[in-house]
Amino acid sequence: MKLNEEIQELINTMVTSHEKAEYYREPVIGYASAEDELYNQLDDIIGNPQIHPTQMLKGAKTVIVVFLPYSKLIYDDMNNGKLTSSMYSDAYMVTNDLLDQIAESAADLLRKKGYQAVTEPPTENFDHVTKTAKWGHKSNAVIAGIGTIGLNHLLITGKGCMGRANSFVTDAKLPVTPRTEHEYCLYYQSGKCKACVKRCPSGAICSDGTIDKFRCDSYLEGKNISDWQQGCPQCQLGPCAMKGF
Amino acid sequence: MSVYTEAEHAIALTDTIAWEEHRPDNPQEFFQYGQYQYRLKDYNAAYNYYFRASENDYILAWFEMGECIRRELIDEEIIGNHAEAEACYKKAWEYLESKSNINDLGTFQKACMLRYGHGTDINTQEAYEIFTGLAKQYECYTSEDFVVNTVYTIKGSVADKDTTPCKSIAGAVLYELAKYQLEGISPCAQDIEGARKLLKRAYDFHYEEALFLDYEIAEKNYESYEYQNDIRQLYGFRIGQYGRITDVHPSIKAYSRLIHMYEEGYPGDNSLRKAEFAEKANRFRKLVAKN
Repeated sequence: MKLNEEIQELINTMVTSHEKAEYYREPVIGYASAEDELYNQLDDIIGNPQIHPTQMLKGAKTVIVVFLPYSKLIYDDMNNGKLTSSMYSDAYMVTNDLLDQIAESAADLLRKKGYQAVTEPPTENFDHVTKTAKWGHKSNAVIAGIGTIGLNHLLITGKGCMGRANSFVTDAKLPVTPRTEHEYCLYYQSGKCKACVKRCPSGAICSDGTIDKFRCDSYLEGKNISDWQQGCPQCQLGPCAMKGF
Repeated sequence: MSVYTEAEHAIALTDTIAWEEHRPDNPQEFFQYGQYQYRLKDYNAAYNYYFRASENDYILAWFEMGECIRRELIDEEIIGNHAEAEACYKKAWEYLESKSNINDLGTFQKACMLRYGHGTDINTQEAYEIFTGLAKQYECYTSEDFVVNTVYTIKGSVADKDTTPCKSIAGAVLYELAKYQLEGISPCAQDIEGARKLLKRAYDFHYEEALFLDYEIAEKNYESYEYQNDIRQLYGFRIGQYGRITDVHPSIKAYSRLIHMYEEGYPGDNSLRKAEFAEKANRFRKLVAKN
């Protein structure tokens, strides 16, 4: 079995055997070359300094990206006409842990085969003052060709935007996932939709393509007063929730 | 980053975990739980617990009930056949006057009743003296006392230190003193600049109404406003709080508060954002109509 197939099988098994497997659909996995030219442009595209894969790992060859799309079970609970969803809140915390475990397990697999691998948790690489990250799983996913950034500023993949991503680096040279010009966001494709703008309770997302992260964050600080009310799923509940366009 | 919203978030998380572990079961705890709910903007729940405290003659509850009713914070069906606001204030005044030793909160409540003539005759001079005396007690606080962060524990996210300063009346006292200067109420001459300094300090001492009033004094002129980040984050924070209440304890008043915020507009929004923001009220207008 090829290495990328082994990684795929490992990840799929970890998800399907997880105690909360019902939260997920089949993972989307992508591979970006650590030498992709886009990595040299990310500082300017994103607007703050990013860590290059070769800064994460000397001799890095591949960035592996894993996106775990949520299942209809989560969607139905989130799409309940309310602003909060305890199942989404649970899924957020469970998925962060699972992505962490996936990255470590895949890294172990690579190390056993003589390669090096460096992981980064799906959260906590985030500066809470400036609301910026230096290692963006979303941008890695775009470079790996598994999705594009929508009007909601989320990663939209072929399986939608409702889910979470993680990415890690290895010096194993794995076949890259082809990146096309395809745009998964319905609004950027056709000018239609804007469901995320309408749904955003704080008005952080605007149809001019901008997002006010601080507005989103302060809204969450007001709303999330217990550990079972984390996050806000509203911008994930449009037509792109479970499929890209 | 807003020190206020981060700290309030930490306080809310900590207090929520504490109350989930120990439900209120005596008059003092009913009152404290009412204060907790009031801080979260769940005014119906706050009133219900103030009422439970008052049924057991918990003195401090009556003033708070009067405030909830007079300021129209609660739905009418919650008040039911209960006393009107003035009757609550009268009871509060009688109780507080009959006690020789009342705490700071009770003293503050008396001062408010004197200031505005609730439950007793207006006496702005005496009220001012009481507010000034209270303010002196909190002069030692600095902004550092109000910085609170969360620490994750096995039981959930809790505040990393004592949050008593954030919940004290320090900010409310400064707010009332500011209004004396703002309105030129005897014994103060009107002093807008002085009032604004007091309001900023009140906000730093965790009395959020102070910044909203300050923004009004500045005629909501965002471009020249000195505390742009604070007012924006406070606005977002309040929408989050109101939004949560529309989920956990939906009511016409809860929907109406959110509608009002969407109609008021977010500080600093351009015309496109303003229009998109105002449209969000439609969802809650439908809920009001349905109810």
